[in-house]
Amino acid sequence: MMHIDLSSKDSLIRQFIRRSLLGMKVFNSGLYDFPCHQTYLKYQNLHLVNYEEESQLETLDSGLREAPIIFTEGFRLREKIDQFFYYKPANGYSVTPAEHDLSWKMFNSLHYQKSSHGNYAKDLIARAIIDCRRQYGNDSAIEFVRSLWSHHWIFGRFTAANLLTYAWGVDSEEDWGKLRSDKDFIFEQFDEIESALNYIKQTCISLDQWLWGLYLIGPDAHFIYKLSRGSDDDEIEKVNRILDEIGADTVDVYFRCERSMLNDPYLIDFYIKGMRKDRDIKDIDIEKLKITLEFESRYRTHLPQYWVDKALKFLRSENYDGLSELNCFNTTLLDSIICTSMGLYGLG
Amino acid sequence: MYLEIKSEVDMLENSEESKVSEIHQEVYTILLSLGQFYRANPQDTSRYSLSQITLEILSLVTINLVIPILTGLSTNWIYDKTKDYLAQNSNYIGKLSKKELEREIYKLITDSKPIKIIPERQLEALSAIEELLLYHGCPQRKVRMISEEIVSRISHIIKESES
Repeated sequence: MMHIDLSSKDSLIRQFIRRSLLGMKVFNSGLYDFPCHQTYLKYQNLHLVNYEEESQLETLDSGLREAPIIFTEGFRLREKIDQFFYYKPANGYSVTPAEHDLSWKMFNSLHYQKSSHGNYAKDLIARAIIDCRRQYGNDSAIEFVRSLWSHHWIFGRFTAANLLTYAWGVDSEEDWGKLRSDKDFIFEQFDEIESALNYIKQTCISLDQWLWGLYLIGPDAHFIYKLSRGSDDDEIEKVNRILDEIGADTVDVYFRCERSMLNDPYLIDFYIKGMRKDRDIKDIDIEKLKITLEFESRYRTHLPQYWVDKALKFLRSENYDGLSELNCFNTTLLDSIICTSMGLYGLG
Repeated sequence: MYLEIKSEVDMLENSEESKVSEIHQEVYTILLSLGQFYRANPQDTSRYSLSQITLEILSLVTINLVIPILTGLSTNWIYDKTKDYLAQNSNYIGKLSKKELEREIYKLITDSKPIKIIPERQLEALSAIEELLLYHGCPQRKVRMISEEIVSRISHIIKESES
């Protein structure tokens, strides 16, 4: 069962942003070599420029104690454990936030060290997931992957989707084939993703929550997209089509928001004024706009319901200054999301 | 005196018009969830983005199909067009005009007052919508739920106007 808890998003988002900044410190320290990561570096620079809430850097949320951890060789707590990596979802290893961050930073450097299968970090996560699955079952392993994703341990939603396959018990081509032919499984997972998406659309109350919610469902959506791709079954093909569009719309949302960082009223221009940028906002036919915005919100994955409601409310009450609220989001959060979603090579 | 009578007629016509518009809005909203699955016909494999106008026409086609079944009333135009539509001509939806579809359903409702729902015809209406929606790509798992919702909403609005 996919659990999207937007109410706890504030602390998670803070941790997420903090992670980006800590990561930036590691990468900027010059200790690690990271070739071919121009996309990543580009967003790292944006973090520096756009970081506005410095106090968040010092925030240590109690929730961090429940964060996932993968210990690596060289980590100073190594003497406490006898494994190369370690994870216990139920009875987690107790560490301080500082120790957790240190472990995270040590681990993160491994994203840039190549192994025969890709990079060391990915190999370690895969081993940790398989270990977790063997010890605690599929559900714990799936939660583990989702938790690693939300705490910034995995880069790239395609990578996260690949790692989910281990959590679902896929160890071979044969297992993958079996899962692909399980129509009920695909429908069930698709329904969960669709419900989660509808839940986010209906309940989020800010663009931060909207971006965060879309980020959270990314790996699961891509996992089922991959599983349903190229199926001969017409009904599975329909599932694949909608997941394809959700993925494309999500990237659209990220980049439309990013565009609005360059051009302040961009989102308002794009969705409210439409193609006619010179149009006076007072001349807009609100009832026609309502139909268009609801179309964007319900049929597509572009706008959450709160955004549509607020836009119409401001326009009806002729509070045109209020519209600027619709463009507000944490730019550092967006950069972190884009950076993590797109992965090390900018491809996801 | 003349003005008062005119105004009553206007009010009556406006109320029929708003009823058509309410039914259209309801069906359109229900079909929004179908948007991402839409295809022109079962052979259509393109994954394009459905336009708002196509969805509006699809909801009007649905209304033109269902109201005659539910009420037992029709116009020649609706009868002919529905027959053509169900003959499943490729891309037929693109040849339909929103204005014509709106006009005919409005005509049906205003010319045949009072219109009443025939409860025995609900199943027939359900299968007609199911056939239409499946043709346009609705997933089998969802088609019954969407069709029931449409029949229920249309019946409700018409019954409300009866009372």
